Amino acid sequence: MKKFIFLLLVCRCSFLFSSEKIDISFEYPGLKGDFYVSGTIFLPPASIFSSDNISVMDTVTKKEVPSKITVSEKWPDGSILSAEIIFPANASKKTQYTIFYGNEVKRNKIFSEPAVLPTISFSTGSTGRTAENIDVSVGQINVRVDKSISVRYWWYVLPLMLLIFFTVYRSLTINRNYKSE
Amino acid sequence: MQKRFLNKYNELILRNLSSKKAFLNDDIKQALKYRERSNLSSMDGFYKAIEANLGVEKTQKDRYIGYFCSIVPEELLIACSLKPVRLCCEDYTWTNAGEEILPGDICPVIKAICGKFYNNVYDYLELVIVPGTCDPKAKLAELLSPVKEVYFLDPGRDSDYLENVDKWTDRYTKFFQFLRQRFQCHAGKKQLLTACKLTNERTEIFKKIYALRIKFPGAINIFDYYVMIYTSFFMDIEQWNKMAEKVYEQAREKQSLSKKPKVLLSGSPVIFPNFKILDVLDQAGLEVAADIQCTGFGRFYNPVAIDEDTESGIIRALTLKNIAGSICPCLLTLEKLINLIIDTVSQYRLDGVVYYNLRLCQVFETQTTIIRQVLKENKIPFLSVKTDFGKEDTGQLKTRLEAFREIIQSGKE
Amino acid sequence: MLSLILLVYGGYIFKEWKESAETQQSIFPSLKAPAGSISTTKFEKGSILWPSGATPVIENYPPTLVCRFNPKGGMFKACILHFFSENLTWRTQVKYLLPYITLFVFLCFLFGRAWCGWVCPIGTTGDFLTFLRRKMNIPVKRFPANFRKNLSFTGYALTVITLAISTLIGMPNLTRYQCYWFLPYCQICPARLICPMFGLIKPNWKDFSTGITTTFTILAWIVLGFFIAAFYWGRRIWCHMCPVGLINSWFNRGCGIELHKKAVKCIKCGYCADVCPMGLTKMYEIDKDSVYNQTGCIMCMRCIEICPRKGCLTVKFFGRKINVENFIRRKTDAKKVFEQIQ
Repeated sequence: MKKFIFLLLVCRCSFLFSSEKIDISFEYPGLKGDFYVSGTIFLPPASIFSSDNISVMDTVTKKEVPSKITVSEKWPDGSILSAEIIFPANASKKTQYTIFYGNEVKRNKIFSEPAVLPTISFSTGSTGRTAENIDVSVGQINVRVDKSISVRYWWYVLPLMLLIFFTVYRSLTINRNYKSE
Repeated sequence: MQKRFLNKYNELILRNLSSKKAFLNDDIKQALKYRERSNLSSMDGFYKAIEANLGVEKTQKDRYIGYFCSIVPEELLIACSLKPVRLCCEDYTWTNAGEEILPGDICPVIKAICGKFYNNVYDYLELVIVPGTCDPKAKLAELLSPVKEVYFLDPGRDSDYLENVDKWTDRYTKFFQFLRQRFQCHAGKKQLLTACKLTNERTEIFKKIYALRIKFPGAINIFDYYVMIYTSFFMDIEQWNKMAEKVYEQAREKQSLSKKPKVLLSGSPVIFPNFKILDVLDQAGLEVAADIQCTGFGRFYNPVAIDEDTESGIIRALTLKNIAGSICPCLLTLEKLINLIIDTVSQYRLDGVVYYNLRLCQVFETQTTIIRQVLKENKIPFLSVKTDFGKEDTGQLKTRLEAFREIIQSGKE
Repeated sequence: MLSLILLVYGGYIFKEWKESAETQQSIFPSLKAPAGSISTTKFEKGSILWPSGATPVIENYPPTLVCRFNPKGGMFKACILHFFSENLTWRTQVKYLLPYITLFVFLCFLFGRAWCGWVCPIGTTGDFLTFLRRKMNIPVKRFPANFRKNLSFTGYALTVITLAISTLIGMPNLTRYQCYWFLPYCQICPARLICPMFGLIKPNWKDFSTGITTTFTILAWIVLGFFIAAFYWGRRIWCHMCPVGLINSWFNRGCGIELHKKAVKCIKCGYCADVCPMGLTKMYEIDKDSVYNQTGCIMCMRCIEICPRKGCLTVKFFGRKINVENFIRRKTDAKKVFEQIQ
C-alpha cells in the first residue's frame, strides 16, 4: 500500500514537473548576418492548449529566443496538433536550439532582442477576380460548381422589368395627347 | 402620228366653218393698262413680254407644244427640248368666236379656246395635249382635232395615290415614249434631271413671292402677281426665273403692313386678262393675300422630290407632283382643298375666304355647300361669288363684297 | 446614304481603337462555353463556322447586327440572335444573361429600330447595291403588302426554328450533335459571308465535308442570293425578314423616337409613302393627328425629310423636338426647295 502511494507520488511529481522538449537541428547557411529559421512542430494530443506554452531556447545559454508561433492545426479536444515557428538566428554564432512545450512553460512577452518583423498582407486590387465557376471533371460527368456572389446579377431584374413595363406603357398611351381631337 | 379623233369628218367640218380674223386680242390690249397700277419697275419686262406674245410669228427653230391644266408635266416637254405653252385662257372676246362651234350653255373658257383655235391664232403649235379633267375639256380632244394634232392624257378621276400611281406612271411613260418618237429626240435621265431642276428653281422663287405676299400684300400688287403667273405660261423658264427674282428683290424693300382685311381667294381659275373679280375685290376694300387656285398656288407649289434617280423613278415623282398633289376638283380632292384652306387661314391669320365660281363651271359649284359648312364650324368667314365674264353685275358684286368686309371688320372688334 | 456609310465605318474605326484597351468590366460576366463541350472544339479553317471571334474587349450584344464572324470588331461581339442561340446551347444560368439583356432592352427602348436604318452593316451593303442599281437605270420593284407580311412570317419561323434547335442540342443526350448544328441561323445568315469582308478577312464560302454541312452551305448560298436580289430590286425587302430586325421591332411602338403627323397640313401628295424603303403607308393613310410608329419602320426619316409641307411630319424624342434636316444629307435636287415659308 505504501509502495503504491510512493509510486503514485513519483508519477504525479513527474507529471507536475513535465515539460517536454524537442531538439531541432538545421544547417547554417553560408551567408553572413541574421536570418530566420522556420519550421513546423507536431505535438501529442492533450498536451497544451495555447501557444503561450511553447518557447524556443538556446540550448547552450538556456536563454529564450523571441519567436513567432502560429497554430496551424488542433486536435479534436482543442489541444494543439501542429504549430509553425519562426525565430531569428545569426550565422556567426552557431548554436543549437531546443523547443520546450508544456503547461508550465511560459513564453516571455518582452525581449531585449528584436523579434521577427510583423508581416502585413497585400491584396491584388480589382484585377484578376475570382472565377465564377470551377469545372471539375469527374470521369464522364461535368460538374459545375458555382462560386460567384449569387446576389450581384439578380439586381439587373429590376431595370429590365422597368424598361419592359415602360415600353409597353408608352406604346399604349403614346397617342393620348391626340385622343381628344 | 395619225389624227386619232373624228378622222372621217375632219375635212367636212373645216370646209363649213368660216374664219374670222376680226378679233385681234382687244381684251389683252385693254388689260395692259394694269401696268399703271403697278408700283414695281421690274414688272415692265413682264408686260412687254405679253405684248410681244400677241400674234407674232415664232421662230422656226423652236417647236411649240400646247397643253392645258396642271396635270400635264412640263418637265417631260422641256426634257425633249420642246417649248411648252399653256393655253388656259379667259379672253372673253374670243368667246363670241367660239359660239360657232359651241353654242349654248357651255363653259366660256372652252368656247374661247375653240374660237382661238379655229381662227388660226395657234398655228405655230405642233401638238396639243388635252387632259381628261373636266367634261368639256376632255371633249376638246375631239373638237380640236380638225385643226391640230391632239394627244389625250387621262389621269382618271380618283386622286388616291396608293391605288392609282401605277396607272398614272404608265400613262406618263407612254406619253414620254410618244414624245420621243414623234419628235425624234433622245431624252434620258440627264435631261429629265435638268428639267426638274429648272422647275424646282421656279417653285422656290414662287414660294418666296407667295410668302412675301401673305405678310405684306402691298409689296406686289395682286394684278402683278397674276400677270407674272400668266407670263410663265408661255415664257422661257430660265428667263422667267431671272425676271421673277428681280421682282422679288425689288419688292422686298416695300414691306408695309396693309390696313385692309386679308382674304384667301379660291375657286375657279383667274387668268389674265379676266381680272374682273380682282377689280371688284380691290374696289370693295379687301386685300387678296393668298390664293389656292390651279392657275396660282396649285401650279407651282409642289416641288419634284426625286429619291429614285432612274428614269421611271423620276416619272413617278412627276406624277406625284402633278396629279396626286393637285387640287383640281375634277379629281376627288375636296378634303385636300378644305385642309389647305383651314391650314392657310389659321396659320397666317387671314380674315376670310372668298370662293369664286365661274358660271357654268359645275364642278366648282358642287363644292360650295360643303366648304361653307366646314368653315362655319371653324368660325372662318366665307363668301361664295358666282359670276361670268360680262360686266353687268359688277355693281351687285361690289355691294356683296362690301357687306362681307363689314362682317369681317365687325367680327374682329 | 452617305451619312449611313459614315456612321458604320466610323463605328468600325472606333471599335478597332477600343481593341487595344485590356480592361474587363465586372458588371458584365463573361460567358464561356463549358470546357470540353463539342460546340467549342476548334472550328477549323475549312469548317462553316470559321472564323470565330476571339474574346473581345467588352462582351456585349447590342441591337445592331454586328457579326461574330468579324473578330476584329473590338467592342461588340455578336447579334442578339447569336446571343440567344449560343446560350441556349450552353445552358448558362439566367442570372449571367441578365446584364446583356438589360443593355439590349435599354438601347432598344431609346432608339427602337433605328439601328436597322443607320448602323446595320448589311443594310449598308444593301444601300450600296441600291446605288449601283440606280446608276444602271434599273427601275425599282415594289411589292404588295401581302408579300411583306409573308416575309415577316418567314422571319419569325426562322427565329423559332433556330431557338428550338439550339435548345435541343444543349440537352444532355444530344450534345453530340453540337458539332454540326451549333448556331443554325448563323450558318445560313448572309452576314456571315459579308461581315468578315469589312474586317478584311476572307469568309468561309463552302464546306462540303459532310451531308449536313453541305446542306447548310447550299442554304447559305440561297439566302445570300435572296438577300442580293432583295436589295437590288426592292429597297430593304430583306429587313422584313431579318430576325434581328424583327426582335428590335417589338420595341418600335414604345421607343423614344416618336413620329408625329399633323393631319390638317397633309395634302395627300403621297411623297412619304413613295419614298419609304420598307413600303409602309400608314403615314399617308391616317387622317387625324397621331403618332405613327409602326413595327416595320426602320426610322430612316426619309418621309419626314421629303414632306413638302412644313410641320406636317415631325420627329420628337421623348416629347422633345429634334431638328432632322441638319444631319440627314440627301442627294435630291429638291433639297433647296424644302426651305419653307419664313
